[in-house]
Amino acid sequence: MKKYFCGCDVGSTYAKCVIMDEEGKILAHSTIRSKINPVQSATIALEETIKQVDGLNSAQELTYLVGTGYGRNKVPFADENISEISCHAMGVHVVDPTITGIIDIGGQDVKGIRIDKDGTVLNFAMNDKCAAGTGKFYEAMARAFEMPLEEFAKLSLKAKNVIPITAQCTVFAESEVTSLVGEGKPMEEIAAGLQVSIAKRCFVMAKKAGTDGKITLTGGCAKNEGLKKAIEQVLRIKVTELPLDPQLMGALGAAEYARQKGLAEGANK
Amino acid sequence: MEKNKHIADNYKPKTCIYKRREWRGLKDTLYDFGQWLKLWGILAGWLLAHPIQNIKALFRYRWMYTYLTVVSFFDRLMSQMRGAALRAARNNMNTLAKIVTKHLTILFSADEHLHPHSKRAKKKSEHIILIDELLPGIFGAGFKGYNTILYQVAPVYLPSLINQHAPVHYISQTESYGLPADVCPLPSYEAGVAIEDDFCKVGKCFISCNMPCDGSIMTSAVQDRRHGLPTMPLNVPLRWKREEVMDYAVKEYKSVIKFIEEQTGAKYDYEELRKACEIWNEQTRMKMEKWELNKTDIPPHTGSTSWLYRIFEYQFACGNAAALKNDKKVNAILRKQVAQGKFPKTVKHRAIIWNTPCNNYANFNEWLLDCWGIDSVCEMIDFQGSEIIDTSTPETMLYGIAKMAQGATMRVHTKGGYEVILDDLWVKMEEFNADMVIMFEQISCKGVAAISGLFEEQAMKRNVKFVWVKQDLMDPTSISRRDMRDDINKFMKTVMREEPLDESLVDFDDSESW
Repeated sequence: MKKYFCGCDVGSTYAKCVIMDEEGKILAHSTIRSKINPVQSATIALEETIKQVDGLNSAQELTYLVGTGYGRNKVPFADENISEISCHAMGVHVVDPTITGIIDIGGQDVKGIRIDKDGTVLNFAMNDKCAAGTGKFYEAMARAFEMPLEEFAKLSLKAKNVIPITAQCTVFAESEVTSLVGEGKPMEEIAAGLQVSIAKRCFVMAKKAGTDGKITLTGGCAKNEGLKKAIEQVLRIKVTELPLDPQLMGALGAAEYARQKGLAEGANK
Repeated sequence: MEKNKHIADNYKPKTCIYKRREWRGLKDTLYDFGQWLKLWGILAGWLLAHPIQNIKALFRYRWMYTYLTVVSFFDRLMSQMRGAALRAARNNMNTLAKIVTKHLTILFSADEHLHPHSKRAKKKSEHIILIDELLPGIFGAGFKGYNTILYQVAPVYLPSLINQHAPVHYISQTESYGLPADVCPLPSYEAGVAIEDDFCKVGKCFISCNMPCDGSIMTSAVQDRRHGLPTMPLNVPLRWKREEVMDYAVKEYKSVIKFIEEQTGAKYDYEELRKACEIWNEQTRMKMEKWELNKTDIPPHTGSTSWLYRIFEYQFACGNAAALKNDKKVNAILRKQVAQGKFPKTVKHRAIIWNTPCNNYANFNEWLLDCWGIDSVCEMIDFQGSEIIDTSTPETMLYGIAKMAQGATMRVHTKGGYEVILDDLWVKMEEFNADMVIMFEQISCKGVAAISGLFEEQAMKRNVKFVWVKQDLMDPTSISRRDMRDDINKFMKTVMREEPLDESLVDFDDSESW
């Protein structure tokens, strides 16, 4: 009988799910917008992913399921839940074992994670009490710019100069941006200022966690080209690209933990 | 202590009130029960001494309700304690209860809010000198026949420790009044009490101060407007380890004494001050001995009942003979315990707790020990004003008192330059043989946040495990006790990869607990 291992990362903005086989090959994955109820988010993400695997019909048929993310305690049928910090570290280790530092920018928190050569966490720092520098912040800023998030993320790449944004608080930054737009300043330069201010915030987390060596970005905001460029400038590093969607790293790490634990236990549900 | 005791099973959901009294073995249970009865005796004695006055206070002041929960508060602080630690904890807290109830009696008997037309109350009020709660009250000993009252201790500081919900109403009042919502909850709470007119209306004059930080500027202004008393600010220098600030510091004390003399007509008595300083010196020696005992392999008494008592003694009971008597008794118990070489709990880590502790989670230390086996052998807050005062002349005494005030609660180590906040941490780690630092990150205080990178950098170089725990001093609505536990849980599971001693304590809901 074939064994399936699953990781389900229920984040504040998106729920992600990865299913892998005994060899660690990814069989399916999905990303859905989170619902207000984390149980509902996890259920939908699981169903979406299970649908993609031939011969797998329900979550009960999974050999081992690990929940992670802020809603990790609410994943139905989970055998275990593991913190998103450990899962991101493991996920990144699975796709690139040479990476030793992670900046994870999720929907409502920013984390710096230092990882060991075996994918375990050496240290971490996180900011989860302020929306500044998170996915929520970007959503608010894109609204202020009256453009889709994807378009806003690339806007700063066109900037010739950077207008410094002094406030890092979401509310203050939004009013500062409105004032600057009102003054007729170039939109791309304001956007570049925002990206740099967020990069500085990431720098603090990275420094607190003691990340060094090869650093990568994970979480939804890792797809933001403008932010990646700003982080490279502020941290004076080259961000290592991942061969897989960086938003999936938490779920992938959870799936890898599920695989290791499921195989070790010889679990067979 | 055996593993997996399921301590949280004895809590009622959300309120965390004990379902039944803790069984500690026959001898310790009897001792604990006896001390618990003694506490009830202290409270009943206080209430029955002036029943009408105290009941009036209960209806007049919202913060007074918090004192009704004090028995439960003490029980929380004694969680899983046995032997010498239990005895030290109970003695410390009952001494605190005795001195505080005496203080409340002085306050209420002179309070114009409770006795609006009483000449007797007015006369008593004229013999009260109010000082800011951050100032150690010892200098008031020189005004014989006068009571020096730390103005905010009864309505603000103690309630914030006893009941996590006590500050919420007052902070909300401050915000509704139009003052900013993102300042430190301590000045916000104090300002809220003033806005609500919930300070006792007593005193001849008031000595404010610039401690612990700039936040006090806001609250002093609001309080000043409310009490309307002649006020003198005492400016305490920041760089308390530097000799060059001392001339200024002593002059400030001389000005304050002169001001009080003018207001009261009393003459400052240095002989009375000398007597109080000598008691305080003994108290300091006792404290130093306790530190030495806690540096051993069997730290006999650590945690909340130790640091809470220390804060109280430093600010409130400095130069107090009853507190010294308790210190002598407790140290004798602790010495005996160390000589026996026994420690009744499982200790996996010896931690230093750095930065200001969280008032709304006073028993955080007990949770650390019961859940993860982390013994807080050294608390930063323990080190306030711990130098011996030279009592040979009035000048040397004022020097000693000024020095003592500069190392105040919350201020000691967080002000005074990098050498006291940063360098001293590593010195203390070595002295107390600690293997871990638990660093409080008070989110509404930016002072220490500015050097967080330096802490991390140096911790890494020294290979020290460094945990950041977010808290908001007195405001559980921004960071809850559960959030604080979560910071530790994440670190212990993710970085240390350890299993808890008691799984039931890892995550539980105590949002409705006092």
